[in-house]
Amino acid sequence: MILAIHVPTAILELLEGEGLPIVRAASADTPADLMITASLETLLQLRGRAELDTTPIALLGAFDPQAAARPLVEMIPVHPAEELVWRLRKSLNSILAVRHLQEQLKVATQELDSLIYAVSHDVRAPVRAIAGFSEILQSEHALGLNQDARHCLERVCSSTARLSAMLEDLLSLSRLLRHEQKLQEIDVSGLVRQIAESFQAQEPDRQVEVTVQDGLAWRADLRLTRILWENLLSNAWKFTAPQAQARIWVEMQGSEYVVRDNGVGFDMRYADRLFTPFQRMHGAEFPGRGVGLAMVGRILSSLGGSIRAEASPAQGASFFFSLP
Amino acid sequence: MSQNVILLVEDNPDDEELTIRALKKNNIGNTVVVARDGEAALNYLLGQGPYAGRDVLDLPQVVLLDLNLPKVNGLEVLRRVRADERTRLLPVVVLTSSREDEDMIKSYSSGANSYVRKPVDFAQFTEAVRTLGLFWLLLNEVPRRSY
Repeated sequence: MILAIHVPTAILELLEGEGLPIVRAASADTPADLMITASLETLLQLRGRAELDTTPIALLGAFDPQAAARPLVEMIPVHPAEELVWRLRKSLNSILAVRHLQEQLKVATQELDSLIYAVSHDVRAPVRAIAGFSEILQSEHALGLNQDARHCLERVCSSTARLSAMLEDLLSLSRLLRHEQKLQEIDVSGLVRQIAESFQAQEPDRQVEVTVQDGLAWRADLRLTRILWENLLSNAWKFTAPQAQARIWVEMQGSEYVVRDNGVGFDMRYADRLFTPFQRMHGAEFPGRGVGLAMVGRILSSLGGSIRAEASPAQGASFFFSLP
Repeated sequence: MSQNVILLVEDNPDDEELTIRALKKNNIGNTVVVARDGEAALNYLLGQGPYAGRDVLDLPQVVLLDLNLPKVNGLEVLRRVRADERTRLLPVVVLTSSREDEDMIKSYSSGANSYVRKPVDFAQFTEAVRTLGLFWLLLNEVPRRSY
């Protein structure tokens, strides 16, 4: 449906006569696939409304560089009439096609999430049985087993423990975005300091200097914001462990948030795998299963943001991310 | 009076055996009656079907109830147990592999006495069963007859 606001009657009659789904309105109070207006002032007003950010607008009969610079704005000449009708129809069709794909993508993503959830949930039952019975073998029948058998059993037990931890991770990942998000103003600086203090309390022997820029704040879901920062910080905390004087900085550079550390860093050749679940840049010398940054990546993409990393071995790592 | 019965409602044979082993390991010698679906559990508790004629007022000391069950699911079993005057006060512990907060909330609002997530680790599971046994079999005073 095309919502027409401040469009001359002659043009409206032409478009309606061509069978375009026009709804005449005085203001943008109903959701539309596309809005059209002949008034530059109206266009700028509409584009200034956050709730209409994703609705495309076509400006009819005028060209204006200021308007052209705005996202999702198209300029369509009104003469000749055939071109106006043709271009509007084409725009509407592409918009509907994109919307259809978005819906399909959303459904597919939800299905994938439920599948991951179901698999990781249902697989836990047999894993629990394997873990349980092998532990019973180990604790009650170890004397009846020779050394090689005991060794094999130990391998079974440790792999089962790993499998079960991975299932828990998959569950957490699939559960991450299933909750409804509640937007609220968040004092990010305060939250980050609080998280750092809790890490320090868990490892009182570590010497870590955490410098957080004052006044960082945003509006988002608190639960996701907390998981995001906990994982970014925990990453920096973990990989600075070998430093006698570990340092972590949290600040804004331009429009990007930066988490920087003087830890062991990583080889940039593998940077594309950083945000993939269960991918690790380091071996057993650092604990973890490669899930933290996967969570970070998922949260940011759900918020419409993006993240990148810069690092080199032994030179520390920096994570840059931005939110819309 | 067979007040020392534990009713285990569990459809997974592995979990059934592990739970019974965990009880034994903690020297909990109560008779364990196993119901492998929700309907069987209700039949036992309410003296129906194969259990017609069982003295319903002779309550188990505790019911260990799984949520995902064939025929009648765990929450429905819980609701019906709470709705029946005779079994209203029966101690029911939900013992499940579910990690959903929603299941926990639903269990409590349907009248569960406690909610225990089955840990994957058998040692932890044994410990959970030990705590349960200590509380529900030794410390907790259940009205001998519910009315």
